[in-house]
Amino acid sequence: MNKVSSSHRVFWQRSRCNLRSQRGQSLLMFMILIFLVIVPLLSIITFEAARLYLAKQELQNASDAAVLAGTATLASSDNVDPLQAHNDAIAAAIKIFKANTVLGQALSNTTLAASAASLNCDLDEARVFFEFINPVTSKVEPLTSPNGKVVRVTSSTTRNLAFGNFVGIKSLNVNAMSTGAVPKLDMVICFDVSGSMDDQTPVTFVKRKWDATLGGGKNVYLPVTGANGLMRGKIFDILKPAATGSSLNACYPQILTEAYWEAKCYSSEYLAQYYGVPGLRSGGIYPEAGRAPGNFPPGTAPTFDGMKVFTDVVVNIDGQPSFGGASYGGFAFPDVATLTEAARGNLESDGVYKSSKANTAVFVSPRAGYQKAYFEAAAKQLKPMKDAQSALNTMTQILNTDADAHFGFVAFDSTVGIDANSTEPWYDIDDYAPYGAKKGYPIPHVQIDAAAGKTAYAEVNSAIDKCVPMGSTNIGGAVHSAVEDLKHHSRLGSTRAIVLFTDGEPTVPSGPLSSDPKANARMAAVEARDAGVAVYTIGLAQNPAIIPDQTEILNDKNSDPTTGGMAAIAGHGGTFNSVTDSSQLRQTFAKIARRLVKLVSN
Amino acid sequence: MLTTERKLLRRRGAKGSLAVEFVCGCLLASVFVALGLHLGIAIFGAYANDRACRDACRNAAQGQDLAEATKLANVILKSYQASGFLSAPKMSAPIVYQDFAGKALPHTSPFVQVSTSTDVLMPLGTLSFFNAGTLQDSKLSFVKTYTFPIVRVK
Repeated sequence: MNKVSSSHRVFWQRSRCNLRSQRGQSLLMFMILIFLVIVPLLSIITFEAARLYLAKQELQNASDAAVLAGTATLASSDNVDPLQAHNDAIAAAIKIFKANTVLGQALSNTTLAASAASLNCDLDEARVFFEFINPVTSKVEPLTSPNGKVVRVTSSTTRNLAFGNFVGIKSLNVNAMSTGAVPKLDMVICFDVSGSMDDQTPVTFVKRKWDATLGGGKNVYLPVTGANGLMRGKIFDILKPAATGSSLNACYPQILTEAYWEAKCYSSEYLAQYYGVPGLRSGGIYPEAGRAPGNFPPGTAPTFDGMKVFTDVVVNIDGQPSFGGASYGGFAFPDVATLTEAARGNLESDGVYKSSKANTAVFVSPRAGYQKAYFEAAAKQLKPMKDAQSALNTMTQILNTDADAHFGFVAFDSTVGIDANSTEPWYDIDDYAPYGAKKGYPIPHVQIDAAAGKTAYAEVNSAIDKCVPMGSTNIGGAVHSAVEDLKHHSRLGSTRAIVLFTDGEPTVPSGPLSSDPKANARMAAVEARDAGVAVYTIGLAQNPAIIPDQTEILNDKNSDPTTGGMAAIAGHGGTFNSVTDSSQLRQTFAKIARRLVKLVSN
Repeated sequence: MLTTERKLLRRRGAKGSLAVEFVCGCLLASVFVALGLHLGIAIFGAYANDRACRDACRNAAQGQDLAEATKLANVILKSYQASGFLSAPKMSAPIVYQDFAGKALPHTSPFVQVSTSTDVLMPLGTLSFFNAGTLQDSKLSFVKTYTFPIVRVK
C-alpha cells in the first residue's frame, strides 16, 4: 500500500513540475511577444504618428504664410483688374509657400492644383489649390470676379515614413487648409482741401489793361513782378509762403489778396476797393464776360502803374512754369491772353469777344465752350490736389476690389461739412475785398453706413473728385467728426480706421475740442484711441520746412496725449507716412491698404 | 530518495524559470523603454523648435526693418526657456529681411526668414541609434527655418 501510494505521489509531483515548467515557458513567450513585437510596433506607430503630425503642423504654417502673402498682395495690389490682382496674389503666395520646409525638405517642388480633388501628389512633392470666396455669400468666385475677397489655400504634400519599410507603408499624405482675408473694414478718409493743396500748380500772374498807345488802343496782358521776382511758375515758388503754404488758389475760389501777404503784390480789385475807385478788371462789374478792362475808355479806372499790381491769375494748362501754348478738347490756347480771356468767359461768342476788346492770337475763334474747356484743363493741373484725389480714388478702388470695406469721407478746411452736398461760401475771385460771385464750394461729408451692402464707394469717390482747394486746416475737427461717424455708424465687429491726409498741420483754432489747433488734433486722436480706431496719417510735405512740425503732430512714435503724434496717440496699429512728392501718394495709400490685412481663420 | 528528488524538482521550478523570465523581461523592457524615451524626447524637441521658429518668424514679420525684426524674433525666443532635456532655442542664422525697399513687384511679397535651432540632450547618450554625427555629446540638434510675408510694410 505504501509502495503504491508512494509511486503515485512521485508521478503526480512530476506531472505538476512539467505543468509549471510549460506555464513558465508560455509566459516567457508572451513576454517576448510583447517586448519584441507589440511594444516596438506601438512605439513605431506612435513615433510615425507624431512625426506626421509635425509634418502637418509645418505644412499648416507654410499654408498660413502663403495665404497671408496672397491676401496682403491682393489687398495692396496697385491693380484694379480682379483677374490680374488674383493671379498676382497666387504667384506671391506660392513663392512664400515654396520657401518653407516640411520635415526638413523644401517645398520647392510645389505645383498649382486645378481643383481640390487633384491635390494628391507623389513623394516629396506638394500641391496647392487657391480659392477666392465672396465674404457676403461665402461662395467661391471666379478669378475674374471683384467679389472674391477671402483667400483660401488648400495644400498637400507626401512624405516618407521613418520606419515605413518595416511596416510596408513607405509614405503618407498630409493636408492643410488656411483662410485669409482683409478684415471687415470700416474706413473714413479725412481729406485736407485747404488752400495750399494747389501750391504746386503752374500759374501766370497777369495785369490786363487797356493800352491806348498801341495802334488806336488794345488790351495788353503784362507780366507781373512781385517781391520774389517774375510771377509765373508754381504758386509755392512765386509766393514763397510759410511752411503751411498759401491760401491763394489757381482756380475758384482764388482769394487773390493772399498774394500781398507773401509777394507784396496787390490784387487790382483790393486796391480799387481800398481807394474807392472803379476796378481795373472790369470797372467793378461782375460777371465780367464781355467787359473791357476797367481803364477803357482811358481814365475810367486807375491802372496803378508803378505799383506791384495784377488783375488775373491763370493756370498754365500745359503744366510748364512759363506757358508755351496748349490745346484742350479742340480749343486752342496759344498764349496767356487766350487763357485770361477764356477764364473770364470772353471767348464764348463773337459778341462778348468784341465787347471785351480781347486781344488774343489771330487764329483763336470765339465759340461756346471755351471757358469750360479752360477750367477743365486747369483742374487737371491742380497739384498736389489732383495727385491726392487720384491716389485716394485708387486706394478706395483697391479696397473695394480686394476687401470687405465700407467707406466714409470727411473733407475739411477750417470746417467740416454736414452731408455729401455741404458747401462753403466763397467769392470766386477774392474774399478780403469781396469780388466775384459768392457761391457754395463743396465740402462733402459722406457718413459711413453699417447696412449690408452700403459701401458708399461711389459716393465717396464722387465726393473726392469734387473737392477744390480753399481755406485753412482744422485737422482736429475732421478727425473728431470721423470718430463720431465710426462710433455710431460702423458695423459690428469691423476693423475701424481713419486715413488722414494733409499737406499741412493744424492751423485753425476752431475746435470743437480745444481752441489750440494742435491740442484740438491730439484730443481727437485720444477720442480715436478710446473708440478703438486706428489713425493712419499721411503728411505731404511740399516744403521740407514743414516736415519737423508735420512729424511732431502726425507721428506714430510718441503716444503722449499732450505732445505726441496723432497716429501714436490713437494707437491700434496706425502709422505715419511722410511723403515729399505727390507722385508717391499712390504707393503710400497702397501700403496702408496692405497694413489692414490680417489672417482671419484657419 | 523520494525526498531528494522532490527537493530538486521544487528548486529548478522556482529559481530557473523565474530568473529567466525576470532577466529577459528586464533586459527587453529596459532597451525598449530607453529607445521609446529617446524617440519621445526627439519628437518633443522637434515640436518645440518648430513652434519657437514659427512664433519668432511671425513676430519678426511685424518689424519695420531688419533691426526691429531681429529684436522681435529674439523677444519670442527668450520666452522659450531651457527645460529638462531641451536647450533654449536660439537663432541659428542671421534673419533675412527682404522688403524690396518698399517696391516689391506685384506678384512678389516682402518676406522675413528666421532659422532657429534647439539642442536636445538624450538621457542615455550611448544609445546612438541614428548616427554618431547627430548624437555627439549625447545631443541631437534640430534646425528649422520659416519664411513669412511682411504684411505691415512701412
